[in-house]
Amino acid sequence: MGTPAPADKPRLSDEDLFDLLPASEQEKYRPRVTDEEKATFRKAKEKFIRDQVKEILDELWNRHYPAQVQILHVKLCRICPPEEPDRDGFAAECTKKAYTAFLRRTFKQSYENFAGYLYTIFVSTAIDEYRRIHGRKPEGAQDGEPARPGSPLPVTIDEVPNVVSAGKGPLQELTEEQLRGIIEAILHDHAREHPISARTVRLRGTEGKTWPEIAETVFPADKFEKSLEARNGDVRRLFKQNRAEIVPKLEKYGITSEHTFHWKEAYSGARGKSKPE
Amino acid sequence: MAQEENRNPSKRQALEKILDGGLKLLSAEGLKPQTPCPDSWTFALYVQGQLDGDMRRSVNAHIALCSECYREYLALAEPQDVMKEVERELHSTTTAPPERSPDAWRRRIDRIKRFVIDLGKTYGTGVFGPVLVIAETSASKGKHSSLKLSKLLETSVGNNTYRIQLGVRRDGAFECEIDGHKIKDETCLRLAVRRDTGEALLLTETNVHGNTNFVLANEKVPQDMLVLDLHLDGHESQIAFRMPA
Repeated sequence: MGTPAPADKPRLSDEDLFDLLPASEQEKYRPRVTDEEKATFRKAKEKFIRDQVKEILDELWNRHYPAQVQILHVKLCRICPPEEPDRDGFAAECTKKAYTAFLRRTFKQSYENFAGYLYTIFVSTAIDEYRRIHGRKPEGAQDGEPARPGSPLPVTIDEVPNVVSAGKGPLQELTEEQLRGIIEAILHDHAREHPISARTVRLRGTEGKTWPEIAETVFPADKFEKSLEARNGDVRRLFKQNRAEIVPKLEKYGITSEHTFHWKEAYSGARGKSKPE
Repeated sequence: MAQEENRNPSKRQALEKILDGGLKLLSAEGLKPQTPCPDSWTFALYVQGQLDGDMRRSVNAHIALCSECYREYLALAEPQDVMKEVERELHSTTTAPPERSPDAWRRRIDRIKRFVIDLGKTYGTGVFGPVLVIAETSASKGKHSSLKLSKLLETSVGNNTYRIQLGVRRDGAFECEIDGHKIKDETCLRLAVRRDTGEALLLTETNVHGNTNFVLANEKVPQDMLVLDLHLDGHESQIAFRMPA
């Protein structure tokens, strides 16, 4: 690799050091010969980093880490979950793991913002640590089959009288399923640009939470220095304005205002009273 | 007529009921994220605002529906960044009228440029293109007003009718006051002042009663044609005008 002697490294610029980094695992790690070495490599790759590579990595770490240590410490302490009483211990553990992650992850490339890269390593390590402490099982696809709304099914006016006259029979179920699919599709789409708003709509509309409950979930008091009243106001505003945005999208799926009475009656059980207009 | 209206709630209210009913049909289980939880590296980039395009939207959609990831997002993000996101969402929802392609905008401009209202000219009351001119004032008639010139117009967007006063202040600034005249749909009217190229000089909205006002400083108002671009729940209307020479 033509790596300069260790004494030269402090004189090299960051860019020069990036150039000296290995481009592949083969360049970066010593070969593993025995089964024991192979097993260790799988668990702790960093133990096999070639000495010259390690010196370059350490030089980069020592240049950038001290400048960020205070900011990083504060950030890590903030991320520390409430279940972990020892915030400094959490920060120290994250720092140790961030260094290991840095050794493993860093390869030859042009780092436009190396300090930012290092910061991201710390934050991602803190996320892993946070998740470990929570022992969390991820929601969503990892948990089983993801809920997919599928293609929107247009609901036509022609269908509705039949559905209503049939009461809660198979046709009614089908229409409920269609509406459920349509609203899921709309909400999923809406969430792509409005994550916090969609969360509010879900908590209020689907889970039936009260405003204080939603405020505490979306803007918890330990994070936001606002009164409950102010946070209530924020979630109400989000809900109201985003519902206003979602409503017109129903029409794109073929739902019109004329479905109202049928739906209302379907829910109240007062079926058979309405007639198609 | 009034009874008829009472029996038939507005289209908007009807659709809101459908939405509310539909949301209740869903269960939290049914509203799962469509993607796995983002890995820690992706999430770290996300909270730093370093994810672009589809990746960002994908994580957005995920945290909206995944309670654990939302809690992590709150733990990672600074409160002021969360509030900025809230403002962005509110802003993008309510203020910005939908963008059009340059071609679509050009076609629209071609249609409306026959009816450019020159604020320095007198037209008399009556229909002028998409608007009804209700009143016109000039400096000589309104010596005590801050406005040098003004026109009171009426136009409809969707089910609502608005009265819009376009005025020129004595310092040359442009002033606009919008009043909801007949409001059937209590929804914010989103509006933009645009150049004829489509470039937005100002984005704002009315309250749900259709009222707002704003001023564009003299140096920000070009002499070429301007368009007041109005949007209400999929309905739109444009008023072309020009500052006096």
